[in-house]
Amino acid sequence: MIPGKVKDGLKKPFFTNLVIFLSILGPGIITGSVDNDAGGITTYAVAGSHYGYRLLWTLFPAFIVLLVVQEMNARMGIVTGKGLADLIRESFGVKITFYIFLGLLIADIGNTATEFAGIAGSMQIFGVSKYISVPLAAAAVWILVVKGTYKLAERIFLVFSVFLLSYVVSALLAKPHWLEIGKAMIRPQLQFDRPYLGMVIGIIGTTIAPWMQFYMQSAVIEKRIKLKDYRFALWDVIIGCLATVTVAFFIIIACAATLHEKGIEINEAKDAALALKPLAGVFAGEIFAFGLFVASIFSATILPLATAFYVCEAFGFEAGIDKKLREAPKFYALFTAIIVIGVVIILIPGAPLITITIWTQVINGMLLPVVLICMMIMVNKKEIMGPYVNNKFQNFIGWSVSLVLIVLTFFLFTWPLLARI
Amino acid sequence: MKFQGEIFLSELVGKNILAPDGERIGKIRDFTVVKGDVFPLIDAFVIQSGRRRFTLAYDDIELFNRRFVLCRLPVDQVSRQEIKDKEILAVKDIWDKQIVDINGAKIVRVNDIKVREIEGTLSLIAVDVGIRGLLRRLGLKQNDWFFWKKLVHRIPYDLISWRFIQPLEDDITHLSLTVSTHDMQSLHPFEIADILTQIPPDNQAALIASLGIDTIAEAIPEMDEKHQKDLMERMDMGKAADIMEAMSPDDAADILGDMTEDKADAIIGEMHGEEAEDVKELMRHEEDTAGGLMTTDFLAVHPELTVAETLDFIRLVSTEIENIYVIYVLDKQERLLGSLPINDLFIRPLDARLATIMNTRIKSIHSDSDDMEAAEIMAKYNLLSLPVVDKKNKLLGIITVDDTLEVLLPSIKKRSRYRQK
Repeated sequence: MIPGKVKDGLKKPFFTNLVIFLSILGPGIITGSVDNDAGGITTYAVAGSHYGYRLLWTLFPAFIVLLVVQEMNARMGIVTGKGLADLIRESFGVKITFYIFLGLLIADIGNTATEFAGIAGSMQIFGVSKYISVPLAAAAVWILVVKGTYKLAERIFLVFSVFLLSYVVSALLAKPHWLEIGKAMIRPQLQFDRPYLGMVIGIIGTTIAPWMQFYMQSAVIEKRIKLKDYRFALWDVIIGCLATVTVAFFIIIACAATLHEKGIEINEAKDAALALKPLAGVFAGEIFAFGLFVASIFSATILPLATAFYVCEAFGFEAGIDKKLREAPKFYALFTAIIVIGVVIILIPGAPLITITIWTQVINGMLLPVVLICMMIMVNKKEIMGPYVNNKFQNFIGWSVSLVLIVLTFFLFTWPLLARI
Repeated sequence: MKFQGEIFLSELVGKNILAPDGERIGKIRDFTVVKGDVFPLIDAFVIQSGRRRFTLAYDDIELFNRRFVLCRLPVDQVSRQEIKDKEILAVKDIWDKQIVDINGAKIVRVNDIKVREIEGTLSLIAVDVGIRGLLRRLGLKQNDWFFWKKLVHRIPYDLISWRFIQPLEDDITHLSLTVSTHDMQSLHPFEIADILTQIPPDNQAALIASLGIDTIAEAIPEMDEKHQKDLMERMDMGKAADIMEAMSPDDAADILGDMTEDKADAIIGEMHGEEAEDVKELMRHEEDTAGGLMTTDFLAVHPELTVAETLDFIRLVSTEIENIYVIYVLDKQERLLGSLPINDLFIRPLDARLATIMNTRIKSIHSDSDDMEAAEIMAKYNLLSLPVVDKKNKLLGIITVDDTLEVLLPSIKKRSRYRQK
């Protein structure tokens, strides 16, 4: 998206390009995959079971939104070498930063709890009690991050991303109607009632959570990607976004083809796996649960990590997965605390999980416009981006996306109030 | 003098600036910074009145403190200068920026800036990189919440002296340290002494203010006598007394001995009883005698103690006493009975009493003896330390081997200290 800036890379032989691409590969794909976390899978499964194929069209706008936002993050990371948290702190001062990050921290603790709920739910399908699966998973996550290196972690994450394709298998086993799918995508039937719109916002909202922008930009920096390799980074972002919507696509299909046709409506991803068993076979249900498990544990690693990372970045504490425990005590303390709180919330009998999930989404919904506006302002500042500021086209898309998201979020939260008047 | 002591910029930002008749000129928003000899200087305040921002030269400020800022001109005579393009602004350009160490690794962030008036100019003497600075910026530090005050009180100060920060560039993206973080913490006292010797006298106070008392107490004895004397005589009595207390008594006595009697007495008068006694005792001895060379910093115990008790005692006092390598055994009248090298404690049975294992044939020297003689005894008998006694064999102090080096190599203090590097 920066025309004419990367011409020097064009003449390289295919093989050289491939090697460079593979070495840069990672940030976009990982971010894209983390996107389909427990919360995401739940949203898609619920959407599929309630509305069948009718919401598949939302994946197009979700893809565009995701691509636009993440491209900006990748570009800002490459050009400035600074994380999003860095830039926000330097451009907007300590007060705004503090309140944004306070919100993010709370939302991310809630999100982490949701991920552990995903782990608990998926393992229940295999008959493992949550009192065993959740602490074990938390311990594994903690050891990987505290004792491992970024390279190792990234490789494991990439393998995880591949596992997410298990949803394709689930969907194929469910024998979907391809003709109907095609119709639903080309000629979407729009509805204008609150549950339908809520679902649309839910799908777009779950694909673009505020914390991902921070993670994406930091991951690009951690990779030390150079400006001349920008177009490879762009491809990484595109593939990541495609992976996100592809996985979402197959989850919706899997649930639509089975649950929706039999009129079964679900509220949790775990229910989808359970319901799939009699309809598409035990294997399909287990594959679905396996995908949920992988996605949850994946996000349960990245989310606390990303949160600890950008909080430290913003407030000037030593941070980084390659640092020793002793070198970055605040970073690891924060990381550990987020995991522990998440685990405790899940393990308390009768904890109000639904309330926590809703409030997490509310906070995320309020933060998203703030973060997006901050990003749009910064990506247009010459002092920060030099010649790589947004062009008119990028600004048009960027501002429209921000505006649409703000309006949607606003409607979602004020609907109950408006309905009463 | 417009201002006494030190203040953080966050304590000034947002304050009203008043004309002599009490009329409000505007609110302080920022400060323009220019390069100074040692520290950068604040050359004007940026004032906002209505929507307009202008600069007010520091010379036009009558006086200011944490409560109010007074201009010396009435409102209609204030010369309102425009802010120039290239000007460095403390709040806009320096606050919130990252400080990177010599290797380019990012470490901390500028949370606040500490300033102090030196010779009619306002110098940036240190950056606050700690949590205190953050809370101050957020306006949360002064709250009276339950427990909050106690909590805040326990947070350590985290300042980096501007001495360690590279000169400001025009286009600030970050600040760089001149030494690595590791070096800064372990900067040897002689290097600090060297810096103190090189900078103009007027700026010494600022540097001293930005370093801890203990650091200064270790650095001053490393300076040559002339600079030592000048520095201490210029310092205010309270501060000087604090530094003297933190110093080892023989160094303190040496420095005080070089000063005029009035000054020395005044400083001793400000010191705490015990430390003052030690220093007075040491000062009674002529400079080139064993008594003048000795220190009262030694480890003395009673003969009835067991080895185990002695080890416990050493553990208890070793933070205050430097010379623990030889233990001196005294009777009730403080007469020297014997000595014991510390390594003996580790090979003797834990219940053995010192009286039975101590070495009673020990070398000592009378306090009036020549200091050269002390050095000769130590060289001849290979001693790490030599006890100094009075006529009644009462132990007054010890001479350590490093003190004798100064007797044997009198020119060592005057040579370039950097040769040791």
